[in-house]
Order: sequence, then C-alpha cells, then structure tokens
Amino acid sequence: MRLSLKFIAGAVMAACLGLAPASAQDYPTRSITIVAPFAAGGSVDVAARIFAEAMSRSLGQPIQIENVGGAGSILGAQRVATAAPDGYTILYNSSNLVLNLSLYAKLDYDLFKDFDPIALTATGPQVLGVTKSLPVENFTDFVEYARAHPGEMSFPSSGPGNITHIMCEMLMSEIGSSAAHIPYQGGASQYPDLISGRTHFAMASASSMIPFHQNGELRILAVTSEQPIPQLPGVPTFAELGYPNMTVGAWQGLLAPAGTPPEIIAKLEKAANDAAADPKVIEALGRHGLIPFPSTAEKYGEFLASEAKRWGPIMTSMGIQPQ
Amino acid sequence: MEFAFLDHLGLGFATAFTIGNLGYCLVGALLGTLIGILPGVGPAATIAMLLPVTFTLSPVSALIMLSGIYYGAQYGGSTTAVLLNLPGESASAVTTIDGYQMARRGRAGPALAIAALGSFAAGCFATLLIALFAPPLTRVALMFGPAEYFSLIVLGLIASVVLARGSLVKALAMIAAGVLFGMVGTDIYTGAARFTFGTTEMREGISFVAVAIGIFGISEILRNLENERDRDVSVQPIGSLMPSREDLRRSAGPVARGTVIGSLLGILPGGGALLSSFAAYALEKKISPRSSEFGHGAIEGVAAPESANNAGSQTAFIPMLTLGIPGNSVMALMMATLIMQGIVPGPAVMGNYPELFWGVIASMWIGNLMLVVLNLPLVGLWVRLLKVPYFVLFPCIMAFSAIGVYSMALSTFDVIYISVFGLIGYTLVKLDCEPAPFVLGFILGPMLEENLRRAMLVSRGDFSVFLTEPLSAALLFLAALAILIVSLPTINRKRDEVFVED
Repeated sequence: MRLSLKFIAGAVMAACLGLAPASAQDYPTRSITIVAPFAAGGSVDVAARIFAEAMSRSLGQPIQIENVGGAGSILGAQRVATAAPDGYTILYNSSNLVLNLSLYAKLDYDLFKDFDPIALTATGPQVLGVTKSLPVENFTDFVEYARAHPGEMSFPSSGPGNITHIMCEMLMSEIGSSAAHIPYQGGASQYPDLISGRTHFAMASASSMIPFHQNGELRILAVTSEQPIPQLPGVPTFAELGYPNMTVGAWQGLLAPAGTPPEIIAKLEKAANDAAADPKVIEALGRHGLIPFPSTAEKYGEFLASEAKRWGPIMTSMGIQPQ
Repeated sequence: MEFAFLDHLGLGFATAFTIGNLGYCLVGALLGTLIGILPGVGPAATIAMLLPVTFTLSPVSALIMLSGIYYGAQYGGSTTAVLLNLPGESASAVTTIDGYQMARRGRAGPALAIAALGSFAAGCFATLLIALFAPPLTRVALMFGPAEYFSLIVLGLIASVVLARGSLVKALAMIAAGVLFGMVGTDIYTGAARFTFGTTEMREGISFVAVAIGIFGISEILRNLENERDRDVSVQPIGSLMPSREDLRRSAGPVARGTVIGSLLGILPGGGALLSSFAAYALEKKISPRSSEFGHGAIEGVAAPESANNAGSQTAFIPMLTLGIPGNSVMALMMATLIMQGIVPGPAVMGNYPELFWGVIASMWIGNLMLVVLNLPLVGLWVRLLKVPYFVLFPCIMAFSAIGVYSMALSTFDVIYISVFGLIGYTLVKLDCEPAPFVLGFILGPMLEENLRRAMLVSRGDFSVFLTEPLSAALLFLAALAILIVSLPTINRKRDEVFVED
C-alpha cells in the first residue's frame, strides 16, 4: 500500500516536473496564496499583507493571505511544507521559525530540506524600555541599578523562548546581572503591569513601545537597530553603548515548498525585492516600526543557516528545553 | 471637565451623522448581526477578512464599520442562543440557560425583544460613561494586577455556583472538569505541552467556540432527535412576539444592574467583558424573589446577561483607545486597522484625533439604535425559524456549525472537537449535570492559573500578596462572604426546593 502511494506520488511529481518549464514561464496564471502562520492583526500579519498587496501588483495576479495560526508558526509552516511546489502556496515567516528549532523536540518538517528560500522582506528593531518609577535616566544608570540589584527586577515577555524573552536574558548576561522572567500571552497584555511598575523593564518591538515612551509612561533607553530610530531622538543604539552583541532584530521572509522551479522562485524573489524598494511599502512598513530588509534567495538561505547557528547555543545556554 | 463632554459628544455626532458614516454603521451592524447568527463565524474572523477593505476608507469610517460588526455580532449571537441553544459568542453562553427555556415555552419573541431592548439601554449608558469618564476609568484598569485578577476570578467562580440548579456537588464537579479542559495546550510559563497526546493541533488548546457549539448546540440536537414528538419548541404555540408590560417591569432592574456590572468589568483588559454576563446572571439569580424560576425561562435571566455583555463590549473600547491595550482579539484587530491608517492607538488619540475618538463613541449609540430598529421587526422572522421542520433545520445547524468552526482556523481538528463535545454535552445532560458551570470553568480556569502564577512570580512566591493588596483583599473577602451565604442552611434548603421542583 505504502509502495503504491509512493509510486503515485512519484508519478505525480514527475508529471509536474515535466510540465514545469512551460508553466513556470507563464507563472503566475492564477491567484497565489500566502500562508501567514499567525492570527490576523499582529504586526507580522500586517507586514505580510503589505507585501502581498505590492507583489500582486507586479505579478499581475491576486494574492490572498491565509492565516493558519497556532503553535508558534508550526501549523502554517507544515501546511506550506507539504503543499505542491508550484509557487501558488508560499509562506510568510518570521524569526520564530528559527527559534522553534530549539523550542520543539519534534517538528513535522525540516526547515532546511522542506523549504526553498525566496527572499527576506523586513526587519523590526527592538527597544529596551523601563517603567517610569524605576530610578534610572539612561542606559548607564540602568546597568548600575541592575548590577546593584541582581535578581530583584523582573521583565515580561510574550512567552518562554520568544525573542522578547531571549533578548532580555541576553541583556542581563551581557551586563552581568539577573532578573525574573514573567511570561504573558501576546505582546500587548504585558503593558498594564509594566506601566504600573509591577514589572520593571522589557525588550519589545519599537512600534509597540514608542507610544508609551512619547506619553511618558515608559522610558526607552536603547535600541537594537544599527542606526538610531528617527522617532526616538537622543536614544542611543546598543552598539554605540558598547554592546554590539545586542544588535539584533526580529526579521521576516518568504519561503516556498522545496522543489519549486527556480524560474518561479526568481519571479517571486524579484516581486518581493521590488516591493521592498517601493516607497509606499516602505512608508506602510515604517508605521509598524519595520524596515525593508531585502535579499536574494541565496543570501536568505545562508542567513537562515547562520541564524540557526547563532540562536541554538544561546537558547540552550538559557536552559530552554525542547518540548 | 464641566460640560466639555457635551461639546465632545456634539463633535462626535457631527462626525457620525454624515450619510457616508451612517451607511458604514448600517453595513457594519447588518453584517455583524448576520455573522453573529451563523454559529462559529465570529466578529474576529470577519474583521480580519475585511481588513484590506478598510484601507480605502477614512479611519473614522473604518472604525465605525468594524465596531458595528463587533456589537452587531453580540446581538446576533444571542438570537441563536435563544432560538437554538447555540451561543455564537462566549458572552451569550449564559443567555442560553433561560433564553432557550423561554423559547421552548413559546416565549422566544419576548426573549429576543428583551435582549434587544436591554442591550440598547446598556449601550446608551456605556456610551455616556465612556464620554464622561474614559480617562479616569483607564486608571482603574491599571490598578488591576495579577493578584487582583486572581481574586476577582475566585469571586467569579464561587459566585457561579449559583448558576447551577440541582446538586451542588455536581456543579462543583462540572467547574473542575471545565478547568481541566481549559488546561489543555501549551503552558505559557514553561512552554510545556499539557494533555496534548503529542498532537501539534492540541498545543493551541481547545477552541472555546468549538466547546460551546458542541456542548450546548450539538448535544441539544442529539437530545431533540431522541424523540421527534418531544421537540416541544415546534409543538408549543408561539405566543406574543413582544414582551408584556409585566415582562418589561420585571426586566428593568436586571437591565440596570447588568449594565453597571458590564460597564465596570468591561474596562478590565483581561477578559472582564466575558465575566460580566456570568456575574450579572449570578447576581440576579441570588437577589431575585423569583430565583426558583431561573433556569426555567425567567426573563430576568435573559435581560441581565444581555445588557451586561453589551455594556462590557462597549467599555472594552476604553483601554484600547486610551492606552493602546486591546482587551480581546477583536480590539487587537481594530488597533491594527488604526495603525494601518497611521494612527497609533494610545493616550494621544483623544487629543490628536478628537473627531475619531468621539465619532466612534457617537456611532456606538447610533449603531445600537439601528440594531434595535433592525432587530425588533426581525424578531417575528427569527421566531418563524422554529416553524421549520426539524429534519430540515438540524442538518442545516450541523452544517453551518461545522463550516463556521472550520473557517476560524481552517482546522479539521476543530470540527472533531464539536463532535466530541457534542457527545460529552449529551452525556452530561443525561447525567443531570449542568453545562453552564463547565463552560465557566473552561473560560476562567486558565485565567485563574495564569494570574495566580504571575502574581507568585511578581511577589517572588509570597502568598500574602493577595491580602496585602487592598483591592485583592476586598475581593477575597467578598468571595468568603459568598461561601458563607451558599453554605447557610436556609439557602441550602432553597436550593433543594429548586431541585425538587425540577
């Protein structure tokens, strides 16, 4: 039974490959689905929609977003990994996909074997913010305070293993202190406790924290981007402060099922990179605290591998066990 | 502040009363009612689908339309809760208890009309409350930390024992079972998978909508199919469509109290609006001179939770608009809409975009008025739905439920859930166990755990925090009082009487 199924699958694959040159040239002839592996409304989802809109204009076919949320992107990724490699079902992924390698003991797909990279799309800088009752005016104060009160402060995150958690732990180990981790569900629910001083500092996306900074409820002390953020005059980057290891951000990109014809990948790659250069897209992304982060398919592949190498040991050293 | 709020409301009505915005309000309210009636298709899914459309509208029009969908869905959800025992929204789960009993007694018309009128009254009050007190109320929301939430939920769970009629032990067992089912999924503190049997799908936990549809709706279908002739809904003559003077008199108090409870709890971002319908029902059942009628079609049991959930869903806008903190997934989507338009929700919105802030508030009131005008004449139409032969109706309900649940996450797993919970619900009914406490435990259990553990993390394992925080201590004191009242012999006897009468 299994043999015959394999045989049929093989035959279908062969048929598809045989047809590939002709259909790859005409691609796309019908609408494309981008699977967004998270619930609608978050900033990654919105970025996926901004790219879908711009790419559909240059590809000349409608692109719909299908939100397949859940299990930290796993369910959506799985759906694309097993989809037909014809360029009509692709994945809009975030850095979660790499962090998942250290979070989940068993994944039903192989990030490096079941996907062909298309392009990176955008990156979002993170910022360090403190509650206003904390007696620190700038990052130097913060380091001093943290070293004088090891283990006394606490910070929220969007869940264990989330980038907001890992960055805070990295920061504490960089400055040689420690603080208690308090997980929340989702990015926004951490703010009431942070504003009222029940938790003390947090690393979060610039877009989510800037309104509280402008209103005086929180103070942003440093940003993880390479350049300072225009909306935050006078706030230094971590690199300027002497912590280059903290220069990281959450990133996003597009992946296709493995075996997608190279001509199709090339068309998608061009569409994505054109979108990232479109002033309207740049402006729309900017409203969500995101910066375009274009790359070739090849570079994206290398980037994925290097990110996996970088985060794996960090997560292990933080004591995060795959479940 | 003096009468500045009158100027503000004036500005708001001037913004909302343009032909275009009235149109968007109407479209939103209509669409919301429709999706509220389709089980499973909730406002969150609809708003997500409409998100691209809103880019072409002005921010005010977009938000007016989306909020129309949101409270329209609350109306629609109660319609199916009353007629078919199918709560489309978690907030209308309580309405099924007495609303469906009223429908079975041929009083579906008054139940639906009271739900609409009560919601309207609640909507008017909540609108005024937001207009007058939005900024100070935001501060109240910030006073609630994990310890306060924990104590509030404890109070809620204890008070909910009165939700059940019949055996106290069974009610407690049902709450415990609900809490356990609520534990399924990924533990947010450690990332550990609990009760997932190694499946990826169950890591997300069990979808509430699937549980509610299965345990209320599907189990009711199974029960009805046992014996076609027992299906008293179609056998009972459908009485008057409109509530009698007596109905209105009996509902006035519950509507007023429900509105206050809903308005206050709605401000809390951590699921306060959800709690409010349960809390309002529990309070009415406790203080009503006719508490024995509750569970058998008491109109107060429809009026109170319906007003509470409408008031709560409206005051839920306060933390979103003034702090940028969404209280639920619908609010998160509305925030995304605003951000797409270049407006970052937060403390600056009221000052920088007054016409947006007050326009939306004014449109809430207009939208509620539209819903009453739309829904009162529709009551007759909905009630006629009960005349549809059951062998036609039940496959339709099943199909719509399955499609609706599937469309939420495109997961076949959710369709399996409604079947499984349908069977569980049927078994529970056969064992004389109430589904309402189960659902309450399912909703509140995970919140209880989340806040208990967070309070412990914040206080570094010091349990005294629940008593040293004044607000938390007060709530726990009320909970202790509630236990005392429930265990008093006279009240116990009253419970038994209810049981015997059943």
